[in-house]
Amino acid sequence: MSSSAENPTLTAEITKPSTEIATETAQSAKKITLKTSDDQIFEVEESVAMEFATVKSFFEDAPSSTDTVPLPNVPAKPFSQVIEFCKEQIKFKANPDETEKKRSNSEFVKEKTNEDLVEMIPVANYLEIKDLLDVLNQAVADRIQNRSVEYVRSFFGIDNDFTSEEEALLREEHAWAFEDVDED
Amino acid sequence: MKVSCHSLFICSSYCKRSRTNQAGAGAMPEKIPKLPSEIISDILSRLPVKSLVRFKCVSKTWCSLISHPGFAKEHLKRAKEDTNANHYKIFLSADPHLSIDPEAFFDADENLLTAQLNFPASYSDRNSRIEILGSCNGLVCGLSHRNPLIYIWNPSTRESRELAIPSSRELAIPGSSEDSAFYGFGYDVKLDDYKIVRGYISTSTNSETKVEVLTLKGNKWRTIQDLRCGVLLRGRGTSASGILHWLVLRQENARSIKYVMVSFDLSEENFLETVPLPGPTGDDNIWNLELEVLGDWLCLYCYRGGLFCEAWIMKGYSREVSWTRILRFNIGEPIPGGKFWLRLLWVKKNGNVVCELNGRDVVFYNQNEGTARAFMIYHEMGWFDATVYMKVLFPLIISMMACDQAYN
Repeated sequence: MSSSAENPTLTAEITKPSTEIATETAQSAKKITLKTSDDQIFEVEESVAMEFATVKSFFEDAPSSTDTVPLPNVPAKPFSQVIEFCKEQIKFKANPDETEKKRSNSEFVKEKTNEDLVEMIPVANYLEIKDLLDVLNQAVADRIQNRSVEYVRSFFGIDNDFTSEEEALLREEHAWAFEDVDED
Repeated sequence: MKVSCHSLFICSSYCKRSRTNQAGAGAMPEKIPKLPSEIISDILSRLPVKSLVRFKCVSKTWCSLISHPGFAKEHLKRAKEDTNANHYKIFLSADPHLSIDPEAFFDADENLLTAQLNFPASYSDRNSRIEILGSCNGLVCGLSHRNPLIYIWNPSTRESRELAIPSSRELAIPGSSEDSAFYGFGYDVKLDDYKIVRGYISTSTNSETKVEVLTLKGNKWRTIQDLRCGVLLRGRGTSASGILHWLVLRQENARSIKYVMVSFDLSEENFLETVPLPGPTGDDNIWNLELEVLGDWLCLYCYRGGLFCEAWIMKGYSREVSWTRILRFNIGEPIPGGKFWLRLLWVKKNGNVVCELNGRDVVFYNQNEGTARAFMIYHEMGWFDATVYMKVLFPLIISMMACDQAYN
């Protein structure tokens, strides 16, 4: 536990759910240590970590490595949510149930804020978790589908670079597409 | 690679954006992470056409992305793969022009939910009659007798474009000087373009069928090799997997006539060997045989002896062709008048069938219960035409002032 000296609070937090799993399986599964871009240490069960294609290929190149895996593009907050998703996912690997999986996935995104989703996407993308990326992109699409242009700009943090004349022209040209839009 | 052109296109502008963003990152602690362009493209490809048209206003980058033909292709691909939602609608050329969602109707529904379609007024004839020449993916190709004029229309984006008419103007009208004119509209995968094929009997030559082709990008009619297959093609061809199909009756001998299918390969621009049709299609009891597209499949349906309707799906081509019967039901009962003129438009996910009856009604037929619901569609002319289209983004007008500025 080399990390405890550096960041005792966080390690305690992470170790707690890990011990739960350990008692469930009655055997201590192999853990992999990962370090996020904001220097936080996560200890993740190997089966969960192997859901991250990026991490998996790291161990394929160096199978016996016990080093901490650096994740330079991954901040801790969205990463912990990504771990939450992957823990759920591996249950369905042993026991495939498409209906239950869909329900679980929609439950997962339902609880997340817009900000959570937008933060998790680059993480899922970097770690190459295809299923999660698909779920997240669909969730974002569902959330913006009936929304206004202004809502979408603030959702993605996009600056409007049209002049007011250009925007007015576009809106006029496609006036029908601006009907029956949900209120922000 | 097709994809690389697309991603390069977005990339150049995206990189510019992310650089400016990084510079300001320190100043704005609550900043939202900028998503990579391929992620934005993936998210947008899941949206319906109406949202996309609206979101052209979000920024110049989004406008260019949504207007790009590469993105339209991605959008179409996803729509075809997505089995959860229905991306198909039925277009009814009625008074006014309507669209219906074939999956949205349930047996208990009192009314048929229709949406009025915004058809360009200048293309309408007197009595707002329009001739559908063909439908492929999201595009409907039509002909207006009045001017005459040939146009392409995307009912989902409401965009339309007038196309060149053939040099011999009067020949553009089927049913006038030559009854035997035929048309077809479909997609050429190799060329990545849509094509209109038209044929007519030239009175000046030995009644060989002259054939002309027009591509959407080129917008010029070009004569290709004459059709020599010993049959007269008429009406509109049905397009599936880059091939147009017509059904024709051929005199086999003094006592029997038989249906054959003539196919035209849109990439190779040649007519193919005739494909054997399923079932006893030479049967004297056959009332009618029609072609339609169900999803991506070519579907043949026939009314046998005025009693049964059968639908067959075609897979493979020429010698490897195989037909699978997907449905068979009684049409004398319970659809009154069903034995006169019934055209299959759609087979619903639950197995129920949507038909056009005598050009007057849209009929929903419940196969399990054997019950039918008919809805009359008003048209001053007394009848309507119908075709299935996909809700897609295909851009007909590429240049847009506001968007162009972002990339010039």
